[in-house]
Amino acid sequence: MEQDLIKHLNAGDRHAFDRLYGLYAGRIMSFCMKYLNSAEDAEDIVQDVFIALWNNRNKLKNTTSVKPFLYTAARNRIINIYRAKVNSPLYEDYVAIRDEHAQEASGSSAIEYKEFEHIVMDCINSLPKTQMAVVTLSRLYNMPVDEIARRLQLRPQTVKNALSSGLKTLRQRLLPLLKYDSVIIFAFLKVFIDNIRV
Amino acid sequence: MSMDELFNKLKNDRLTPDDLRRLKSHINSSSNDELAQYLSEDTGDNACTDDDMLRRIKKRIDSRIDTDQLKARQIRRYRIALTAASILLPIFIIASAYLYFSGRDIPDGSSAMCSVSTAAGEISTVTLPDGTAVTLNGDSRLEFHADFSVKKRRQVTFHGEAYFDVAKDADHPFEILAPEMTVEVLGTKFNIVAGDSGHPSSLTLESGKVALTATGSDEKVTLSPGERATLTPGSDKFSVDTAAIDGSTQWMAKELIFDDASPESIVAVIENHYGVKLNPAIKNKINENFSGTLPGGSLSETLETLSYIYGFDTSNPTVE
Repeated sequence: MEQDLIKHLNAGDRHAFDRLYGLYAGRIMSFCMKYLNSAEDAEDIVQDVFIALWNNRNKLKNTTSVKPFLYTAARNRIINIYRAKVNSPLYEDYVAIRDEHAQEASGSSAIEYKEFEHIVMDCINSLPKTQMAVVTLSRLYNMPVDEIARRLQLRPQTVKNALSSGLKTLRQRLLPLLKYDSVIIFAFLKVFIDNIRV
Repeated sequence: MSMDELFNKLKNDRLTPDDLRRLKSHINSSSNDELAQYLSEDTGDNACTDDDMLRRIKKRIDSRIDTDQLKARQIRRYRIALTAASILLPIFIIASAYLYFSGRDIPDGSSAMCSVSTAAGEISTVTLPDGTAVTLNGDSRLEFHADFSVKKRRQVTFHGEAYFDVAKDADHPFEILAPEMTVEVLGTKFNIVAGDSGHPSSLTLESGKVALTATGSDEKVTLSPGERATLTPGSDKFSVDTAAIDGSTQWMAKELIFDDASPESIVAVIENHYGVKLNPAIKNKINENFSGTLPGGSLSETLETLSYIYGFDTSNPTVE
């Protein structure tokens, strides 16, 4: 039965594609939620994976089921998310801060990483271009001023100015958010803005 | 503690710094196939899913497939992701959001400030309310008031590189304010590179007439077609030479054509076209001459096509 659907899919039949979606979307979604805590990420993966199925409709000739294709595609995307997360300097900071404040930040009152990341990255990304680049390199990648100056082809004084303006703006934007979770955000502010390494 | 437990903690953000170190080194030294063992599927996958959500996702999939079939260019998404520190370029592409006005006309009559920016390696064309067409190369920014033809003051702010095709209006000169120079235009076509201080600025004129003024010194120069004015950093004077416009607008080509090109020249063309440095892992795989045409619209398109021929991995295309 599925083999017939696949034959039709090979020929570019959108209805066959719809039927395959109906068969597997729910399963892929559950699979993603099993390994990711974020519905947002899981939805993106389901979307990507089925679009990939459509884009590769010609290459799936002589297959009995699209299940391996879909699961492999989803698995690879989940792994990529894991890779990005464990290598993210911001995640490293988050883990360190959470560990240090384990007593105070216990249970459900602690801010989840996804939300934390959104808040911080939104703030950084809304800075003017140069300040954004300088703040990211200095605070997330621990890069010294002269190296930033070299990479961005700016004078060191320009870098220092951009850094101090950028951090000042960040402090102003992040402080009101203390209401979400004072412990984590405050500790982050100390580490990130004042650069007192944990 | 087993790897399975660590992966579970990663999912729930319950890792300790030591856990993270262990997990990170394991993940970084394993391939996707090796890590796949921790993500097993079982027949229990299903049931608790929300039909509304699945329908919503399907709608997005359908509209994406439809737009892909209608347009050649894809719509990009805003994504927050930080990757390993050795890859610098993605910070600028991934960590910022830009507005896109690709090929659409800007509605006249509003008094808002419009700005169009391109990320590195991206090309975009904008039509201004007076009919002027501007094709922006990567990493460029154009700003103007949306009512600028109503107010009859045609002035834009610009930095980066672009090809301007300015609509004729002898009564209302078109003015470009760039960091190091101002350009006054009367119906003409030209390519302009307007760098920040410390980088050269230049304008190559194809047709019409332009007058340039250096911001630092008020030095003026007028150009005729086929001429190029260059302002080098540090000097406040323009130097004028002749230059074929074709040379300066190579970047606008939507296709990269190769005729028995050597690996070195293939790499050079791609690096120049997109303003990037290719990952040595990719360069090493390009080991034979190539004849053919590659799509030149975006780096990922070009590399994807090339990867079918040379068999390299396109996940980390560039290095700093």
